Amino acid sequence: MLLLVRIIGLSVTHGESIGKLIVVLYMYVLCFIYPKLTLLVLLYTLRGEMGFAKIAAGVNMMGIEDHVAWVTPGQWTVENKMPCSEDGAMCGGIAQTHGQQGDPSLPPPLPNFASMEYVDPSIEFMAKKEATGDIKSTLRTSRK
Amino acid sequence: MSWRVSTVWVCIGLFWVCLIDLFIYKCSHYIHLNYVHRYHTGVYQLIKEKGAIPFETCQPYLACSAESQEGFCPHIDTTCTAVNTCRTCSGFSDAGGQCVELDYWPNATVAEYGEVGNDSIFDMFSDPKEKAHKIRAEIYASGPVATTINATPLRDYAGGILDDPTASTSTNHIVSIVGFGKDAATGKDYWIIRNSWGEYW
Repeated sequence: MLLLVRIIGLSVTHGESIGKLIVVLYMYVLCFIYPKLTLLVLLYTLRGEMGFAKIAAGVNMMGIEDHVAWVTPGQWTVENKMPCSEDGAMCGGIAQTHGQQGDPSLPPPLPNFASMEYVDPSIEFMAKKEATGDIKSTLRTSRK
Repeated sequence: MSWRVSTVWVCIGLFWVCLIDLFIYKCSHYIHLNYVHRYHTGVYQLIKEKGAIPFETCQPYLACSAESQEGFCPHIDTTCTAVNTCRTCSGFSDAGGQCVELDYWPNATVAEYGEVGNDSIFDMFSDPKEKAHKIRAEIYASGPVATTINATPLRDYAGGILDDPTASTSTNHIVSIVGFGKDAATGKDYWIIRNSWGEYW
């Protein structure tokens, strides 16, 4: 019922008009009696974008162009050469599980991660543009 | 809570890792003290000054904020501690299991961050088309960006290009802009945004 209410574009919440509720109930009964109508309603109304959406650009729709932030990573882990055990004994948890997991006087093993450095693709892009004389400076005006 | 998700999703678009949201939630008071609360660059500042952000498997996302009273949210420990940054649990406590903090965890760091355009407050009054061009250039050159947005019209979004000139530009949410395009039928330019509300939205 709630799904149906949702897909026919109506929502009934506490305090809304009885007229709206009657329309929703009518649609519900209609769709229940005529399954093909339900399918048509579904095909017409279910146009979700799976978590994504399209917003008009160039007009600051809903303030979307006022505060746009960029970020570039430094490095990130791509390989863990000493996987941690479930109880954490291999990655520092041994000291916290004294008496249960082994000798706490032993130092925990050091991390053995392999990381990848981020290379900003815009560097190559800008270099090519600058080489052709199309631009004189980077697009970014603020860095922190 | 969703401002944290979308802000970090910018990183996801760049290098295909999923970073932890709970870390930002539990340490977000740090943002409040040092920068603007619930703001994308505040999250980047937090990650940069803390050194790194753990991947999401250290603790999965929970749809709770500090003020949430729904479900189990009031019972969540929101302190910014090591065990709340990355943990592993060996089993149920009644069977002798316990949760411990990890000293080392796979992570990512922030090199630099900023806003597209000028830092000046007057940038808000510059030509929208020029600003849109700068945003497109940023996405084209370096990938997705995070942005503030008025999410109220998104609640009733059912597909297509959302274009409501009456909608307020007063923002209350953050999403990722992951791409852009032009509608073949209408010639209308649009942004492709990724929201944090999930596929069922």
